[in-house]
Amino acid sequence: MKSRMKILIPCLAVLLFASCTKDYLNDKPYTSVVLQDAIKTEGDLLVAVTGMYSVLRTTDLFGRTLPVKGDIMADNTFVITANSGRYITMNSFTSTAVGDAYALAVWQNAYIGIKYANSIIAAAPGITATANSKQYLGEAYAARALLYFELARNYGHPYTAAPNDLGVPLVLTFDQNLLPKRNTVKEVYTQVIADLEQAYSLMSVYRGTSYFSKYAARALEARVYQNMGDWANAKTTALDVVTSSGFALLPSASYVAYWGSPVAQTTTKNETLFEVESDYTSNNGFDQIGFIYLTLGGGYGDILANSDLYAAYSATDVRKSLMSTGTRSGQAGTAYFCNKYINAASATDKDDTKVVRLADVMLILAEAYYNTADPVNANLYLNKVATQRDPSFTGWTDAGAQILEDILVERRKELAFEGSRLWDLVRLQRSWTKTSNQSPLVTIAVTPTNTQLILPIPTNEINANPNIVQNPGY
Amino acid sequence: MRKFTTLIVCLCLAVSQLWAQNRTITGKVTDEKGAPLAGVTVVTLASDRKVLANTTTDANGSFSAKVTDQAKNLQFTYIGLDEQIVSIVGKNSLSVKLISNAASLSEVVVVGYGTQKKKDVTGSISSVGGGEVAEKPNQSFEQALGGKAAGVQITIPNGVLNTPPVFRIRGTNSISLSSYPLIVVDGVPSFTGDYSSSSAAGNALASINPNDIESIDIAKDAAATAIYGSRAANGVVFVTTKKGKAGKARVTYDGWVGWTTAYGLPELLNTAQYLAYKTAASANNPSQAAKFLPATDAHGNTIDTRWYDYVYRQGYSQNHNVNISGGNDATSYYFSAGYTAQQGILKRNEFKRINILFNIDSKLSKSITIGGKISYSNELNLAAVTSGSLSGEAFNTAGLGRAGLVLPPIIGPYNNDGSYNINGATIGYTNITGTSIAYYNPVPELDLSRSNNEINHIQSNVYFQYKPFKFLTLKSFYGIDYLLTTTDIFQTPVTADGYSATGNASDVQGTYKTWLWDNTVQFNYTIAQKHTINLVVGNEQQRRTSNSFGLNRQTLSDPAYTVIQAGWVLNNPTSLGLGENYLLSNFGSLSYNYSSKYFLQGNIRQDEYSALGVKKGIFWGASAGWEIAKEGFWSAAKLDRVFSSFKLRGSYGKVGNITGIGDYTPYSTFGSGLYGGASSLAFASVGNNQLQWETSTKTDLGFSFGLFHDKITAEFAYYNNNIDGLILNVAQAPSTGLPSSPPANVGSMYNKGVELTLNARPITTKDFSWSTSFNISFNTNMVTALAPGLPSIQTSTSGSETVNQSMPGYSEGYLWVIRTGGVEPLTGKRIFINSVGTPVYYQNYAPAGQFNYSTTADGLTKYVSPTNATSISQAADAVMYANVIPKQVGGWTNNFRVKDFDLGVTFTYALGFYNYYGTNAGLHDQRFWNNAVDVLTDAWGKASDVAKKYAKPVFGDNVSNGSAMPMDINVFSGDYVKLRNVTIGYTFPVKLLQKAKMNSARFYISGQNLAIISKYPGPDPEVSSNGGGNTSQGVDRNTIANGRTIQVGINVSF
Repeated sequence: MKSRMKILIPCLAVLLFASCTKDYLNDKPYTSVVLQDAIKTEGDLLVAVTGMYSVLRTTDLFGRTLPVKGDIMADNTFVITANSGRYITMNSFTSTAVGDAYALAVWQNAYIGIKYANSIIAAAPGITATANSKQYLGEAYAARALLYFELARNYGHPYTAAPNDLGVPLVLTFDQNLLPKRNTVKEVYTQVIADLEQAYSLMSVYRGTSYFSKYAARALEARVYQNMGDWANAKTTALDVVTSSGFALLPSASYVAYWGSPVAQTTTKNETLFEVESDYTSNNGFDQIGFIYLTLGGGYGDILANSDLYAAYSATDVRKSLMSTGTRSGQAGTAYFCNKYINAASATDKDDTKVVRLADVMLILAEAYYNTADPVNANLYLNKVATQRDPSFTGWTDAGAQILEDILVERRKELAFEGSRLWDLVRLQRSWTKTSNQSPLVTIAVTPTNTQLILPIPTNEINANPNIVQNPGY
Repeated sequence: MRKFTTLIVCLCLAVSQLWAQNRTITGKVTDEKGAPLAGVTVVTLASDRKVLANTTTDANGSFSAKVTDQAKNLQFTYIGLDEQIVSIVGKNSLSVKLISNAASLSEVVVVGYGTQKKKDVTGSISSVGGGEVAEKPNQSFEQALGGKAAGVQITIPNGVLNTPPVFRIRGTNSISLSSYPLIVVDGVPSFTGDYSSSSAAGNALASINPNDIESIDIAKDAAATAIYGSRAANGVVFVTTKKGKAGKARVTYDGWVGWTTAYGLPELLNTAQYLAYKTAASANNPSQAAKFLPATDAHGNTIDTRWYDYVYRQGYSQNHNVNISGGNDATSYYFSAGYTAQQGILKRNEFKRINILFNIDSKLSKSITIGGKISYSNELNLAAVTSGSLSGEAFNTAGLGRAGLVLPPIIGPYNNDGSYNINGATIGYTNITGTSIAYYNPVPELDLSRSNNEINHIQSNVYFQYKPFKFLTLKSFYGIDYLLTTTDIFQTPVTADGYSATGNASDVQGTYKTWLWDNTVQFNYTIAQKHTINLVVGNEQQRRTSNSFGLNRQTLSDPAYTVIQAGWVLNNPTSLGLGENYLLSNFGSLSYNYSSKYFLQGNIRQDEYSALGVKKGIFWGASAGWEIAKEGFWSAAKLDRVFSSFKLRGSYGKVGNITGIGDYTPYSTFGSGLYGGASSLAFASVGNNQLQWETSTKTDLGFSFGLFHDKITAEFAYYNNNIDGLILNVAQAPSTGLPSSPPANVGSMYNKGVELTLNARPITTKDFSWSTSFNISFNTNMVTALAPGLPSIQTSTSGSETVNQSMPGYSEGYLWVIRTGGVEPLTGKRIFINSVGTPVYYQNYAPAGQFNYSTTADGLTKYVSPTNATSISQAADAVMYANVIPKQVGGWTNNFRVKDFDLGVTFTYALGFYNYYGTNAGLHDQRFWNNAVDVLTDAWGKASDVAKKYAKPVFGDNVSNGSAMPMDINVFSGDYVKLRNVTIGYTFPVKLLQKAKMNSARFYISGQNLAIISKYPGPDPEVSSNGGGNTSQGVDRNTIANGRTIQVGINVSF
């Protein structure tokens, strides 16, 4: 009996406490990287930041929809009669909450980009701070600011009119079960400014125009202050870019070639502070921005410019060459084409989308001087752009309120097809006539109270998130 | 052996002569049926159980033991049988009956980590003997389970060989996960499903030769399944392979040959009919200038091709098995080798298997037993190209089933010079103009292409068992299941799918491995001969890994090459996969019975699973039973004269389902991407770190009784299975930044029903006997909740057509089709019924001033729907129309024996369900497609035609008869009764056999799928285009029917 117990006890022990490999319970995938483990080194940080930029390139962010929207809802462009069905609701001011695919796609992709930035920002404390790692982290802050800025003005009332109205939910950490409430417009802008300040202080490495740099963040900050109507800060930040960034405007002779080149700059600092890159292997295919303006190479060619935009350029204005006239099948009358994006069908590289340019910053600076009672400097910076583009032009010399009107004209001409015009009109609470079709003429009188000026909160968000309030008018 | 026995006996005799004062005890040892047992160890024990001497029984089961006064007991041991210790005080002769303890006997069922006496079972378990699944023209055992057990539904979804059947126990129990039961083969959960990535199906369970199966025990309720915890929700099927039986080596040979043919193929138009009908249809559509002309072959005859003849064939099959089993008191073994080669009804579809199985058990000492199993199987699953019948293939252009239906009879497979009739990728059609044919010529594909799969499958185990005391058993068990699959696809550059890439070849290697180690302690004790306690505690760990990679090569440089290894220009990686999971468990089972009258049992298992967010869960089941027939009042009331037994039982418990879940569901992951030429992270998948198993709460109540000494036995069960936490992908708020919807435990549904099994042996005489077994199961399936923001789930057939919609308040996969109102008698227009019940008239060709969709029969009033649409669409107008899950399934088996002849007849049936016969839409499609002959009688032809089924033929019309949108006219009741199997056998008389030195011999002839009683218009109401899909059942789109097989076979043993 005793001897049997001697065998039995160790046997029982072995049976009941047989070694198991608890580590196996935490098996993780081999063929993809788990979110929490993805960003642990400076190298990971770089790869993650790069991924964040490809989200910015999405068709419904800077790939096409945001730059298109800023012109089509203003007085620059319209959708032709024979169209492929794109941007109709923006052209006719008939967006509805249910079924507005743009409202969903812009919202969703912006938050996807924000999630990337949040993941990077959350991972940063565990990574040794070097000039590079700080640069990447700064880029994430800048990208998050850019996306929240776009969300705020696309889904919330203008800061200049109703800063305490509802903006968008501020999601600053990744939690897939979150059901956030909408923050006020003001709260969102405050976050955007804070992120841009972080970005500005963190970044020190210039990686080319397809990545955020210190002064790209600063330029964006100037734009944000401009949209807030905070002219003191707009002036400080814009001036910082103009004087310290090292970026310069190109001479007029190089300007058309500048737009014609799809190649992002890596070391030079001409005109572009930040652009979203598309290349031959990574691009939006038929949804590239160039194809919505031109039929070249199989494009949709759905959107034409208003004749008065074309007429706004003098014959000697180099920017007139970025448009052309002709006819478009399926559309009566003369067709005015946008030629800023001509490489959609290229077999080597595709058009990038410019997000912030020095000319814009200079015009912001001019407007800031105007608003801080410095008409001399206002005209000075306004003319730096205007005379550069039109060598025959001797410059604006107006005084008083006309200076602002001159700035707006110059902004319209300089930033056409870059999605800027709508926001100038909105932040200044202007009314305008939107041409929905030029021939036969269909127009819409837009006033600042038009509810279509902001997008509906997508129904997917409202269905999944009971804390969300819909915008008025939807 | 016999010499040895003799020697022992002689020695004993010699000893007895030395000590004359000792007495001799003689006796006989038999098994429970009274047959003598040779080789039983007979040990003489002293009062302190000290071994004094031992001997064994002879060939007649007799023994003779010389014992001294010291000897008090004799101990009888024999492998596979319960040990007995018998007192010899005051005795000189003994008669001992040893009772089997093996799982193999019908009195015992396998319950997971052990066995239980059938009469002690309080859970719901059905048992099917191995004989029921052997000797059938099947590839895997479960194909033969249909109708054999209540609550078990087997449907074979198509006629492609080695297709995994749809296997459901008590209904469909999931939406997104698998509803396939857990199959435990000799203690190791097996891989299930199709492991071929070619067009030939490769069922993982086909590696088990049905002839090697001893028993199949099907656990259905929570009590019976809870011991498998998180994998138990779909039921657990215990497959036990044959083990050796002690005694002289016994050799058995089974063999059969069979012939399989397609039946019930729809009758199609011949050339004359086709020309007339299509020409008329063409005349009805002035907008299309389609023209059809007859063509002549090389002999000057008009071409009239019956495409079925080029696609189908009579398949020839053969099957051979040899097994040897035997053993002595210490060691027993079973060895078998099998070969089968089966041809399908589709040309080039074949299944070949070579397998061996070796089971051995050896008693090293009185307390230690070791044993193990080696099983190896090599299977070839062969096909030329897609059948169009496996899941996802329904709309394949190359689908052979479809080619047989769709191709016009006026073109042939060959040109008159003998070359293939092809036009680039498609078939050539010079005599048809004004339209184009995008389908392939099946003949060159069948000649030149291949889509093959090979599976090598190893299933082995080894165990060590230590029994220090009679009441205590310690066991350690280690098993593996390695499945290696190789796919070899070659698509000819000559035509069809391989044409555009100038040839295409893919090879994929997949390795799927399981190892499992479990350790158990079993305590078994009876107190005062009344209280029987059985306790099992143990732990188990299971590791599964999968690894696959493949190469796809395109552009053949020289048509002489036909293998992937040489002759290609482009290379692409394909089928890359790497996964692992781990399941760590502790479990316990306690059963108690009082005088075999009152029974209690509880099972509990804790599982920790790597693939879940919430890894750890506890599952349990409890049951109770009451054998009323053993109560005093029962016999007092003289009920025992009628009822030989009457048992009530009930169970309740909570188990889980994780089958089919991905390996890494908790994790959100990044893949890789590019931005500006720099590598980047790209969000790849969205996980849920709160994800857990689907939960199944099962209630089971039942009773069983036997009448007239169990001449009639019956079992009745009611069950209610509530499933909560169904895993569905639920859209989160987009502001979370997720690119796709993560899985979450949200939905719920139930299956409830009753099951009835009746067994009877009405006649049992020497020369004639009849036994019959009938079962029926009534099941109600109902989806009760999906997720917020997810009102319904639509499931497509092969990504092309959506007919199934699951939503709360309906059974899963309900047919969702557009209603019609017949054919308008004056104009032959199809009448649709829109969402609000308004008739809408459709004409494919609208003359000037008329509309395609009109609210008036004259076509002049444009249809405008309530949502301003101008046409009928499924999204706007379809209704929840009919259920696809059968309400009743079951079977009826009869066995007759007249002297040496036997006859077995099995029916299976499924009732109360509907199929969407999508093939019918194609059969009446008014493009160039060939049509069923009923268009000649049932299609509208002239203004006086009333009550026609099909619209006026208008060339190009794919809307009116259902190709473009699923319609109610193609939904049919699928109710069927199938004469599944008829077998007539003759057993040769023993006298005759003895001369041939044989033990037994039987010859049989058998027929499979001989008849179907069904109103279903397609060839086979059992088929499904979507395989085992939960939410996409009941769709028959271009699916190959099951074949009809006649086989003749013999089994002999020596």
